[in-house]
Amino acid sequence: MVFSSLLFLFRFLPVILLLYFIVPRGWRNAVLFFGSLIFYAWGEPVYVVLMLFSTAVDFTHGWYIRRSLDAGRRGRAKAALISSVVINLSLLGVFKYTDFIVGLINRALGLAIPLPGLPLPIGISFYTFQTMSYSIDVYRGEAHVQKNVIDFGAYVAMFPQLIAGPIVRYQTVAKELNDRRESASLFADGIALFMAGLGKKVLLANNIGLLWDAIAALPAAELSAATAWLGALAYGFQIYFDFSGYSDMARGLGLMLGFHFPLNFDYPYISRSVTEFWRRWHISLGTWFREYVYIPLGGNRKGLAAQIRNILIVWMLTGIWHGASVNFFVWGLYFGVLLVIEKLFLLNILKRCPRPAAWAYTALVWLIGWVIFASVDGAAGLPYFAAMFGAGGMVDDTTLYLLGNYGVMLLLCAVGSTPVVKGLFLRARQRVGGADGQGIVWQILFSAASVLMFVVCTAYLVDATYNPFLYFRF
Amino acid sequence: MERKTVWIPVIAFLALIFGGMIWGLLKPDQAYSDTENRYLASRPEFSWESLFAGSYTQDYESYITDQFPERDRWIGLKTRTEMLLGKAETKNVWLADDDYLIVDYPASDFEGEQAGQNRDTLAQALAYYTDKLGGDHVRVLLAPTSSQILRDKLPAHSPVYDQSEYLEEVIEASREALAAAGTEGGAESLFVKAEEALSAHAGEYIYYRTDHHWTTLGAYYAYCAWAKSMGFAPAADPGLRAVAEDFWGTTYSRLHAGGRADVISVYDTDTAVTLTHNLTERTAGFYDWDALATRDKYAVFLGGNDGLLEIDKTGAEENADAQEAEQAQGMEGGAEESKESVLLVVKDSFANSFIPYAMEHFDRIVVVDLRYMNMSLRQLAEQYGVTDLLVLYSVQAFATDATVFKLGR
Repeated sequence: MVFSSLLFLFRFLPVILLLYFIVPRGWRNAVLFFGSLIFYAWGEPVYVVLMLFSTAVDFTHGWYIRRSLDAGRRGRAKAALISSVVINLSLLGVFKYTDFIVGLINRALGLAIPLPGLPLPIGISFYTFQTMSYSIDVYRGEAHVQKNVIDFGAYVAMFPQLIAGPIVRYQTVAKELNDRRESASLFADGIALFMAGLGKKVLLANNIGLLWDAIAALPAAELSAATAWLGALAYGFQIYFDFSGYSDMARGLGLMLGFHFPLNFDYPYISRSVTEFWRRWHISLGTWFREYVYIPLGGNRKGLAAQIRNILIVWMLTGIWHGASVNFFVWGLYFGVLLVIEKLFLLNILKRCPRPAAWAYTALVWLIGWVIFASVDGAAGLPYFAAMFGAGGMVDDTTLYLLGNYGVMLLLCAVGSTPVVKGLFLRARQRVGGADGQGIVWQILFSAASVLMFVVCTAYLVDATYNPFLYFRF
Repeated sequence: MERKTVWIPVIAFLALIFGGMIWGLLKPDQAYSDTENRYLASRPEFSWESLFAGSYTQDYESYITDQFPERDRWIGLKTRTEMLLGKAETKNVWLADDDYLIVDYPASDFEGEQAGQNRDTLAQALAYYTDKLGGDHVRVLLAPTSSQILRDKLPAHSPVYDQSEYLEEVIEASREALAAAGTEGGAESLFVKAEEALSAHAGEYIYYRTDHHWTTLGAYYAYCAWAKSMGFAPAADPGLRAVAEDFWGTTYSRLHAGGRADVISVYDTDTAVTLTHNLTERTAGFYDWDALATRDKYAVFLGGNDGLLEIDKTGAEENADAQEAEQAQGMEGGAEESKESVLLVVKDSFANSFIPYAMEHFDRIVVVDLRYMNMSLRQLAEQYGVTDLLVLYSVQAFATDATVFKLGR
């Protein structure tokens, strides 16, 4: 099930909220756990077993790790940790990367081993990373062991962040899992975030996605340069508003239920270096790789050469985390190399550059990045690059037509990519709502805006000709 | 400090989601959508197999979406939002000048496999029927859609597929097929120059604003071109009589906003005719006035689309029946003894407003809509003693229709 669907908004959400708030506090995690299982099984009636397996593995491993540590058997604890990591990565490997690896072997050795063609379980890359974080946190002593399997299950399966993140590390929510306070004001904050996310997904991402689809459907050989760049921009907007919209909805739902999930996107498109971009883009994934790969590899503590190696490893992994395909690997490596270059000298230059120049350089990097990201068919992306650099002329009627048709939309996306809207919202709340932002006039205005946003989004969902789920490769 | 006011947005939000759920649960399911001309998804039957195959949950989501209360209004709200966002095209419909809603048919409609198959089927059929009936008695009229003729009304720089390209392909394939069959005369003369005829009147009300069909006036201009190509003197004026002024067509039904109500006019003819629908039901006159009271007002023409429709001058239908019975019993080729002129029209709904004009030149018209007819066309032509053939489709419907192959049977 996805948030941006009538089924979620008008069936699942009211029922789960009702159950969640009428049961005694002690049962809420159970409601959350079983509700989340239904949420997941709705889209993956078979693979839900896989998620339960992953949950069971880390629940038992975590328990065993803690017990071994308490008994002073560090070796055993480490073995259990390795076992957990191996099992989780094997799940990922089998269900996500088998075809990719077999394909590579076939190509390298000229064999024709048939591809198993296993469908990828939704969200597997998110929940395996979460369950792994638990075992690792327990091993490191950064989290207490969770003794209740329902509570642990609620953490893993928690429907707000189950299928598209943010990747919530266990230690982040460990406390709230067993001791949280839901409240009307948290709920209201959750509504604000949820509406913002829903609007980003349904109104901005889906709409600008149509522009990208229109351009991607044209033969690349006939694309003018302006159209090709427009396509890259549209794709960049689509993936940002879709992904960050999902994260906002997740965080909003979390607040409604009394959880604080971490910020996942912090206006990445205003970045003035690639380094900054990755501090603002998919923050929870970056944090995960930093905490569980980069730092354990030595981070920046073992000299420059080791640091460069570590950066490249992390970004190659980040690349293929996004999908089992060569282009994602290239995409990750592309950013890894640029990050190394920035680390070596470019960052110092960028700091002295005029701000617009640094921003333009960064924008160019992510735009080209998105074209690599979109080129799932590998070499099929090459003619598109050729078009970007003028192989099919500079501007044509198609460009002008699409600019006319999507001009307002592009403008809205551009503004939405900056903190301007949020700034206005906060300032208005302070002005109208008073110091605590709870004045009645403000509350009425805010409610009206939420209702309007919700109604318009519903209209788009009822007429759902286009409502893709982009993370089926993650 | 939490004040009571924070409950305002909370209650508003809960009212929306619970209200939507309860409204949806209370609303009785609707089987068919008049405005969309399709059956809506119904509640899927639960079974474990369908659940594990994933089809149950998918069907259930379609069910919720299709049965959402006040569906049409929501769609209208979306279209209005799109307009507010400055969209010139939404859901493959151009929001064009003068309140026109013009369907943007993609190039793939004309470049796909189906389009190629239909082109070849037609070419072969033409070779067969020109041999049977003679080249002077066979015509094809592929009507361009409004996007082809009303280009001036489209938003600036609109990329439009040029439908004449496909028409050229069809003519070329027919030329080859006729040459292969050793038929005298070219294929060009078989094709009525509809685009030319309509373009000359592009400033007039020849297409509906909210529907994909041509108006009766548009049909009249195409009819004139056809009649002249057949050597007839066409009716001197379109003889229009307005019968409905609040027609909202199929294109509007996609959007539920924009456009302006259309006027339906009919050819006000003196010719009294009897229609025999699918060999059974008889009605009088070309027009089904009751349809004007329904949503699908275009069905006023011939009462909509029948698989097989016989049109006889009133009083002649009994005779015709007797003749048919004779021919059916008698030997083959009995048709050639028939002295009456019989036009066979193989068509889509574009022909419905055209046919009343054609009746000026024939004793009898037999209308076949291949989408709803499964008999052999060749046998049918024999049986009715057909003397002339007209294939009349909109170019787009012809290129995409999966039943055109029946033309060759």
